Amino acid sequence: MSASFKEALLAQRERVNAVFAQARHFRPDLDGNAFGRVLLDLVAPAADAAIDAGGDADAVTGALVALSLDLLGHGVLGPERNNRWVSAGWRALPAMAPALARAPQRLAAAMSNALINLAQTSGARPEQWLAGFVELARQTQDTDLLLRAGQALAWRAGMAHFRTEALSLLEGLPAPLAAVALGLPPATAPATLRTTLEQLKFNRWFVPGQNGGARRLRVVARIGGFRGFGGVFLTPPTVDVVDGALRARIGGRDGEAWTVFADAFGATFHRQPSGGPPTAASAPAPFSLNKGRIAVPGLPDATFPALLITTSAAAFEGTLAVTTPLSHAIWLIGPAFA
Amino acid sequence: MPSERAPLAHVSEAPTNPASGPKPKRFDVADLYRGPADTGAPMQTESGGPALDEKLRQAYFWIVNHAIISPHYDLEYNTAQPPQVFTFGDSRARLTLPSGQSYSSFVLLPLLNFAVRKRCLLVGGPGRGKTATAILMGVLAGYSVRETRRAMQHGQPQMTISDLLGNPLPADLVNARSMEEIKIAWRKWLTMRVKIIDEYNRIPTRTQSALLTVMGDNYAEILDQIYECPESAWYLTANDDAGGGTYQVIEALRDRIDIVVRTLHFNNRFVHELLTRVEENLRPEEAVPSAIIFSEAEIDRMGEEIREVAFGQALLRRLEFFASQFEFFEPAAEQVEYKTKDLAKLSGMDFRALSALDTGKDKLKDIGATTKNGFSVRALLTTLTFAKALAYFRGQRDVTLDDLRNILPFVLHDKLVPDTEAPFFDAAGHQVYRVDRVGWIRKLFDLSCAEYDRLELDKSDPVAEMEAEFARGLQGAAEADVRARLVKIERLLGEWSKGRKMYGPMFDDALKLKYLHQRYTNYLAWLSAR
Repeated sequence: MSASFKEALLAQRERVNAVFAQARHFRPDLDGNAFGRVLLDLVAPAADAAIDAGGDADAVTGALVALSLDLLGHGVLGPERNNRWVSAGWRALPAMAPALARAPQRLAAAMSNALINLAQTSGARPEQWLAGFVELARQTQDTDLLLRAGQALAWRAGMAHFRTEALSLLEGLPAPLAAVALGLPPATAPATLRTTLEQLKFNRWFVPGQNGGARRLRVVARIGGFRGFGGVFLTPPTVDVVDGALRARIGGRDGEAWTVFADAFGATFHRQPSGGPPTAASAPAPFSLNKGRIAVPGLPDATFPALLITTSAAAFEGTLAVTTPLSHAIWLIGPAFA
Repeated sequence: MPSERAPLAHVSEAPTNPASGPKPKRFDVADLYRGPADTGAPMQTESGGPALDEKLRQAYFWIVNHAIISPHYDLEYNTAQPPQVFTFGDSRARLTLPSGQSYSSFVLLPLLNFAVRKRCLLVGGPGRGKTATAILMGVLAGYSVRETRRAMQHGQPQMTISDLLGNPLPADLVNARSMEEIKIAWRKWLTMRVKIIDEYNRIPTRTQSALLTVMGDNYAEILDQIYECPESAWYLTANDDAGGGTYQVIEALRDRIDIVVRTLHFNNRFVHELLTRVEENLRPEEAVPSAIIFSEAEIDRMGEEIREVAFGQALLRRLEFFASQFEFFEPAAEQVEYKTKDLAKLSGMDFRALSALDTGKDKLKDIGATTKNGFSVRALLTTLTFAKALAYFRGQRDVTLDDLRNILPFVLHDKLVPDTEAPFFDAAGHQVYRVDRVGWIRKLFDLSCAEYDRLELDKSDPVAEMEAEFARGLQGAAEADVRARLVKIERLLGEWSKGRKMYGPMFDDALKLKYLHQRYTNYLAWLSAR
């Protein structure tokens, strides 16, 4: 713990104590010792690094102490807490010192919230996002740019429902930030970056940097799964398309329904109020499906023995979603490179 | 600083009033950074600006949950499900369990005053939280507790205009050759966007006049020097409802107060909360979360959004009908236009003596006979503003009848003067209204609405029809058509004059018809002169 942080903490001692007292009034389980450990283990290193990077000692200390207390009270920071990713993020804050020095509260709070949201989203990868975010912070000290790049990065870390907005954000970011957000080297040539973005827009199953081999119909993902094993569905689902979006449902009219977003970076399920009436079955154009054999114009036909017997099929944005009577998964077939 | 964000003083999570705006779930990449940690960034709406009505509700719930112990829900709202009502004791006191989200007037109304930047009087006994509420409003505007406390003006019998507004610089007083050269050291509180006058009824009369200028016209004046104040929300406190502190409050000053909020009693079942505050040295005002602090631009925008809340024609008509009950006073003059309580008051004659001349009407049913005055334009403007603010706070785009019913008693509290000797107050169950002004005004509004419904004015309102006809414009109207409209007016007035007693609403309607008649007459004269 640096002298600057210690002095700033002492100067704010009365207020911190009053705020802690107020906090414990509303959360009686708040543990003073745990807060002490958070201050020593997580806040002090981050504050020291930010102060060394030119941050105002009082402002940095005030912001980080208050925020850590807030997160501790919400049960997401500190030892024995249920979200290890927030603590991991705080441990990574010293690596973002220049950006942290400029906007301590905004950066630390946004990062903490992002990690909470990623951890709560089934299929999202908070560890990938955090590593990428640290790398992004090395590229810029501008908090606005960093946070925008972090939003695009969240898409690549599995938040498939951010796809459209993330693509739009990536177009407005400086090239090194956009490249890092896409998992490419920061020095990626702008022309390569533009081509990558075009391909990402054109094909949701395109993975930057993995475009070798022939493009053909493949099983690009199997998503969903049995709820008892950490998946989404209690019974094998069916699929249809509503307003251009893929919908998965179980249990008939009064059953459960989800809007599904899926691409090469992951899949997310968003619960809808109720199943509602099923949409009329129709051919999943432009695909045709016959006893496991799938055809689509422009690509060679492909056969998938697992899809010999199906219960539903729906096409959305160049992808065919298929369900079978004996599986809790949704099969996604799309054009992909080998 | 930690105190500005009060980390664990939890701000209620949005939506605080889920019924207020059910919207389909949309995916927004900004959701990534939303969560329990306060980023200090405003909450964004779909249009890109902060959702200020939600922020206002969060501020309300933070105050009632953490700052002011006010476990009252006297502003009641119900859903389609009716409320449950229990009656107690010989007086058949009613306790209602509302089925909708209801609010504490003592916290909500000062907050609405903050949003619309008007003038709020907090009335009640000492130690009931009047000053604490006012200070919280200062903190919500972004001032520190210390700044807010220092800027608070404490009414006291020796308070001079200089104490209130500022002093001329002594050196200038000696050296200046003209008034313009005298510089004034203005008091800092004049620059604040939340102005607090504690115990305003202890300010001497002359200083009250200076205060009136600042409150009414938003500027201060000393020795011909003017200071223009920013638009502010005002909070005045008084221990005595009747304004009878050390000095009588001048009427013009009382009239400038837009809304009156009465403190509610302390529920002794909450003494344990006090004990905790003592033992743990809790100071909620030091710990207001930054998420509920409003910038000047946000308050400006909130004001604009409140003005955009719609006040429907049908509801407006009910308000017109209610307001028209009170000004008409038959014994005041010979000519209809002058038959007003205002004129009677200006004459200096004894109101009771004049009122006794008003015979032949059912004074139990005539709610206009329960007051000594009528609605002022200022009262109507304030009603419209606060009703919109209340609807906005509830996340509604239109003012509802309940909003209007809930807000009226607090706006009219000091503006509608009851004639407590009127027979209405002697009727069974009405004696309590001599004391309970909020209940009285609410009762008047309910009676007015019942009468409005009985007359079926929502279905058939000939004056409103004529008004709509006129509003379509006279451009190109044919002479025959205009003459027909004149006949229609005359026929309606003729019909009314056949024996029906004249009450307030008819008084306003008749004068409105006279107005229309004049406009048509003038138009006919213009047509024939062409």
